[in-house]
Amino acid sequence: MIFLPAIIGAGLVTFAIRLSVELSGVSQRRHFTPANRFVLADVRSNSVLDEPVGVSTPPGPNPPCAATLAAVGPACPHSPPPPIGRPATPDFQVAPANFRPPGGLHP
Amino acid sequence: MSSPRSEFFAGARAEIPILLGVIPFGIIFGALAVEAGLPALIAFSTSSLIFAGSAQFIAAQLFREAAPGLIVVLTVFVVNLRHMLYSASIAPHVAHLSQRWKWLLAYLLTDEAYAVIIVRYHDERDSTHKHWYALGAGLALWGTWQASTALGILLRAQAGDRLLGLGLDFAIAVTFIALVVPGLKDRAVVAAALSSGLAALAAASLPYNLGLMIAAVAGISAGVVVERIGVERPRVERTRP
Repeated sequence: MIFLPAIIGAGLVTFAIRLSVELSGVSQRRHFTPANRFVLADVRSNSVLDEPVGVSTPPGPNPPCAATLAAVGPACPHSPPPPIGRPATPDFQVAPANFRPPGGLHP
Repeated sequence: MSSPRSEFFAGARAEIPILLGVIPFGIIFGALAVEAGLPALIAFSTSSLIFAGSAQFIAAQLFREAAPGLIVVLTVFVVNLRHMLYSASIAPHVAHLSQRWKWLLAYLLTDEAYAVIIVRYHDERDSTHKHWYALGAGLALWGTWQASTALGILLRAQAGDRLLGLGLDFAIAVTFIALVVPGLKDRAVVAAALSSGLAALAAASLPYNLGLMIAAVAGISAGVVVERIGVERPRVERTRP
C-alpha cells in the first residue's frame, strides 16, 4: 500500500496538467468577439494588402468607428472628409501657400 | 449533420489503428509493474489513476528502485508536462463545453487520443458534436489500455520473465512513430519533428528526463521560426515594384 499515495499523487498531477489550460480562459481570449471582427475588417479594408479578407464591413456607420469618431474626432477612416482648407486632424498644421520645403520640391 | 452517436463511433473507429500499437504497450506495462513489486490490484489501478503510458513506465521503474514517492510524483509531472501543450491546443475547441465535459476530456487526453482528436477538430466539415468524437477516441483508448494492462498482469503471472523477452517494448517506439508521421504535412511541422528528435537524442543522458522538455522546446522553436519565414516571404515579394 506504500505505492498508492505516490500513484494517486502522480495521477492528480497528470490530470491537473491536462486540465490547466482548458480551464485557464486562454481559449476565450483567443476567440474574436463580434466587435473585434468589425475592427479587424475595418483595419484590413484600409490596409495595403490586396488579397480578399472574407469578412465584410456592414453597411452604414461602423459601430466601433463611430465610437472612435466621437472620442478623437475626424481621425476615423469612415468619417466624412474634412472641409477643404482645414486640417484632417487637430495634430496637423496647414502649410502656408508660399511654403517650400528645404532642398526644393520633389519632382 | 452528424449526430453525437455517429461522432462517438467515428472517434472510436479512428483510434483503432493506434490501438494495435497500444495493446503490446499495455501488456508490457502490466508485466513490468508486477515485476517492479506492485501488487496486481495497484498495478492495474495505476492505468486508471495516472492513465499516461510513458509516465507509468517511469513510475514503475522508480518503484523498482525504491525511489521516494515525491520523486515519483515530480518525475511524472516533468514527463507529462507535454500534455500542457495538448491542452493548450485543444482548449479553443472545447471552450464552449460545460465544466463536466472539460474534466472528462482532460482526463482522456493522452498522446494517442490527441493525435486523432486534433485531426477532427481541424477538419473542415462542421459539426457541433466534435466533443463526442473526442470522447469516443478517448474511451476506446482508455478501455484498451485497462484491458491490456490487466492482460499483462495475468500473462506475467503465467509466463514469468519470458513475456519480457519477446521484444514487445519495441511497440512503444513504433506507436509514437505512427503518431507523429501522419502530422508531417508542412515544412514547419517537419522542422519541429526533426529538431525535437535530434535534441532528444543529444539530451538523452540528462537526469530527470530533462531531455524530453529540451526536445519539446527545440521542436516548438524550430516550428515557429520556419512558419514565420514562410509567412513573411510572400510579404517581401508583394513590396517589389
